[in-house]
Amino acid sequence: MLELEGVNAFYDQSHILHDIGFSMEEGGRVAILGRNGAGKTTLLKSIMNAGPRVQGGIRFKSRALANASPDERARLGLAFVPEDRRVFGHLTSYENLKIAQYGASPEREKVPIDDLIGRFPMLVPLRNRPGSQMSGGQQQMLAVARGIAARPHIMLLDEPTEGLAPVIVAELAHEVAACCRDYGIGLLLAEQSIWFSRQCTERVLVIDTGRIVFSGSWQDFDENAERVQRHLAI
Amino acid sequence: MTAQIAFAAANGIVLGMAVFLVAAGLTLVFGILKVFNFAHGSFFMIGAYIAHAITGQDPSSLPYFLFAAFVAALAVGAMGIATDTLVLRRLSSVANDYTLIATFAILLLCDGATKMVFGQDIYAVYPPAVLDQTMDVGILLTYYSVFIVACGIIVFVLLELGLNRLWFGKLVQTVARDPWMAGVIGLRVQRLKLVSVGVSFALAGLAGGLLVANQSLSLSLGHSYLLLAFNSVIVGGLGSIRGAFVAALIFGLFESFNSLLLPSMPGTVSYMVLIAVILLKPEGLFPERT
Ligand SMILES: Nc1ncnc2c1ncn2[C@@H]1O[C@H](COP(=O)(O)OP(=O)(O)OP(=O)(O)O)[C@@H](O)[C@H]1O
Ligand SMILES: [Mg+2]
Repeated sequence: MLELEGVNAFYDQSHILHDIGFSMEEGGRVAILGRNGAGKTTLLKSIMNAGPRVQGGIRFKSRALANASPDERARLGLAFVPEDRRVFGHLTSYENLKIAQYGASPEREKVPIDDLIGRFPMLVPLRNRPGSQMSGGQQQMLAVARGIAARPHIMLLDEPTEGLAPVIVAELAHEVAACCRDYGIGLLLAEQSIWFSRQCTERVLVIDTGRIVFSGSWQDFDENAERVQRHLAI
Repeated sequence: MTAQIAFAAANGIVLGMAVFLVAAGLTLVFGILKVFNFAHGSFFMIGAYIAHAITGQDPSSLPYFLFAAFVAALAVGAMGIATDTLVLRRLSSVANDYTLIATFAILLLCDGATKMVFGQDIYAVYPPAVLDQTMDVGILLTYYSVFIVACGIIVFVLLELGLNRLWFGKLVQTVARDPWMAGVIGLRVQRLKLVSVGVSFALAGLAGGLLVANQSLSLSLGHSYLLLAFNSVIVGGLGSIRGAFVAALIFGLFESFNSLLLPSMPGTVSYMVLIAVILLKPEGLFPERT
């Protein structure tokens, strides 16, 4: 479904990602772990072509993405939920979800918006409230729902737990996993929280200073705990 | 004295609406592209020339006058699409001074082209016969000035409804406010911008066609409303239609009372208003919320 091979990413002159390679199956769910500044966000943005300058091969649905713009990638079935949320402040929750469906890939049957809102109890009373009048946590929830609304083949989810209360994090983990299963959405998740990542995914990549240093199942992760922790500790 | 004040107020409202017609497209382009288009007045002038070329010098019927304004709007809208494709869209990632120079160059180009196509003669254009009458409502008002006020209000209401109620308007606002995220969710940002820039330029052409009557049509027509339109866009809050509407009315009224009360110092009050707003509320009366 998604294959990266020899991907390098740059901001101006700084070389951030080095020779990244991995692949994801249809419906696969993968976590990316790494400390602050390791390059998780840069990797997601590179897949979306939404920021860094990228070299190397990215293939999606057996098609080389080459220079495809972010909006083309979105219509092919990639959805990116950025860490700074970027909820549309002038649109209500409902409209934020609707506009994501409007922009997204036409080939898959749409998720009914009210069903989706119903899955996130926090959003129910906010259905008709503009994004600009929501708290940070509420916006975070809406941003995740907006990613799901597009019903992408793969959702690129960047630090969804940031700023959420612990009980809400648990709820979100449950909903993200359930939505991915029910709607056939693959997940590439960048997270600091190992607990959350474990709830939502089946495989894990660890990156350190722009290089993949570990790749395997959660069981492998536990078996190599000592080696992996070195790359995650500060 | 009361009659004079009433007359000045009426004139101020008419001027305000005329200024709004010019300012509407200018503020819209800014809202979408974040480019302050110095050539806007020239496109307004081109609209006036095109409408005049269709109707001719003599008073026409009202439908024909409107038809000419509509054709001017279409033609100038098409020029807007060309201008965006060739110039404006390339300015999104460069420093503001390049934008200024580029749009100033477009202004010179438009003025030169207009001179070549339409010549340097000055024309007097009359409003359609039905509008070229006066009514007495305590003061004498021409039908044409009432027509301008009606046009201003109609354009304002249509833009407000279109941007805030129609789905297309919401798409345009989304692209204007956060083009990066709009692209990330799959909106065709470039195309939506192009269409909205076309509409904004069409508004300039429409304004030219509607306002061409009752003034001398010459190459300097662009400058007459332009300064007030610029002021209105700044004072109203860059990119805000509502702000441009309110500010255009304020400037129209201040200009009008300025010439009644301080006839020897034309325009001073407007600039004092501009300076006061920039000092006290530099983001304008209706700043864009994000
Ligand atoms: N716009 C930018 N311009 C230049 N350098 C950048 C830019 N954005 C990120 N970087 C650099 O790229 C590196 C990777 O950043 P990135 O945002 O991908 O890290 P991250 O793993 O997502 O970290 P965090 O967990 O803090 O979100 C960092 O060293 C950062 O300083
Ligand atoms: Mg990050």
